[in-house]
Amino acid sequence: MILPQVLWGILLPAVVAGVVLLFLGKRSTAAAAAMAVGAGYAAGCFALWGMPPFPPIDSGDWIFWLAIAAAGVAPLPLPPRARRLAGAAIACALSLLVLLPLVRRSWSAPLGVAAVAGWSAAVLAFWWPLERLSIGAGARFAPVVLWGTAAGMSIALVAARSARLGQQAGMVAAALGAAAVLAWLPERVHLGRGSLGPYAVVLTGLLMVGLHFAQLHWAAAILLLAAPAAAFGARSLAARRCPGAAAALAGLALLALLLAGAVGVQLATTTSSSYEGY
Amino acid sequence: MKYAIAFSSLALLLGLAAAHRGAAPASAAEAPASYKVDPVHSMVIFKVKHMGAGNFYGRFNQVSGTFTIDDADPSKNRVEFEVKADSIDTANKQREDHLKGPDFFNVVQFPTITFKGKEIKKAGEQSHEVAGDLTFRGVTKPLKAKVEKVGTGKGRRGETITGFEATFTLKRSDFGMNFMVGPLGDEIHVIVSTECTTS
Repeated sequence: MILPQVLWGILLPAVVAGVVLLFLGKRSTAAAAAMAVGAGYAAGCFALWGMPPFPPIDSGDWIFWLAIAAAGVAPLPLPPRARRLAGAAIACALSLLVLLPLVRRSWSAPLGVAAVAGWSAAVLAFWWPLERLSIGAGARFAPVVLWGTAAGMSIALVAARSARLGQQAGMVAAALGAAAVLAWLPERVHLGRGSLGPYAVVLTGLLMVGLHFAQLHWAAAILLLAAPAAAFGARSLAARRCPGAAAALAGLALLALLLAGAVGVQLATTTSSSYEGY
Repeated sequence: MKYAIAFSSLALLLGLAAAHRGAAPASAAEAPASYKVDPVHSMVIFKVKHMGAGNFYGRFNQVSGTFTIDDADPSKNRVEFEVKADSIDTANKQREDHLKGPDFFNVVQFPTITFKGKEIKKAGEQSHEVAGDLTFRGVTKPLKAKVEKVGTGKGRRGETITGFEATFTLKRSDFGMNFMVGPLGDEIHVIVSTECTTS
């Protein structure tokens, strides 16, 4: 039972992402990172559950298709303005399509518009600052922060009563894990503008599904959204007074603290006081 | 945690089949009968294999439905059955929370499981075969269920009540419920047990 989940849900995404980075990393830097994460995630989903239908029946399956779309946009030679427009379109599509069942059936029109607009803004607030911060943060620090965020999200989503959502975040973590390892090789991984589309689409999409269709606590979702940017910020602040390694450790410490807080909030709200294991 | 999946659909089918049967036992000359499912005395029970070892049973507690059986004019036969996915009951809250989530029933997005019968055929002295469409997790597929008439009696207000039990098997993966297929069986055996009032 466990072995196929580990093999297809962790090892395969890591291997696929690693291969993509090794072959494309030198030629097309930011696009290679986007395509590696997108390909690793898609390979894991396909291996574990098969190809999701298109158009999806379960709104959560839009995450798969929009992650592929984001990976497909990355290598296009777009001017910065067009790239931002494409990113905004993907973020809006993700929010609208994932939340559409609630917009249609459960929410009033104003609430639906507010939720879709709010989530679209949240996706972009997660995505764009991370790309900008990754550029200046050093090629080795950024992949570790992104990997840690995905891994923490995976644990929180499992605690929110959805192993499947947790596995998907785990696939992204596995792909980023490969990137983090390869980052120690010279000139292998470059994160920057256009590199984090699939990463942001998958993780924020999973938070949407976890919050609205599973039992993810809103406070855990906020902590998970804020954790990576906070880690970059802490590193940047610490770098004014400390050497590079110490500053990086400060950033990672804050990341660990925020992720632990998110998992703790989640466990506190979904774990029963009496053990009811099944 | 993975058990509940296919059951509600089965229950729906069973309810339909039962309705048919209730009407069918009557002679061909009997007037058309319409039935309403009594939600208090009706349920859907499902069985799924767990870890390749044991059979796990669960149930859905909120079912409703109506059906009409007209032996003289089968074109008037109707079966409509609905199960509230949120009413799954496995005697373990954590497992139920998991079953209600995106891994399995996704009850926020797919709150009901429905069956609409198209054909009711007599299959024996006290049994019928009901064919129709089962809609589960947003996927609609044809389904056939065998319905047995259990008995007829009088309710508290003297009304005639009839019991039906329908059985069928489905593959949960056919309806997009493909999480943990293997450790948790793909085949779901369903019993829909209904008690109906005649209107």
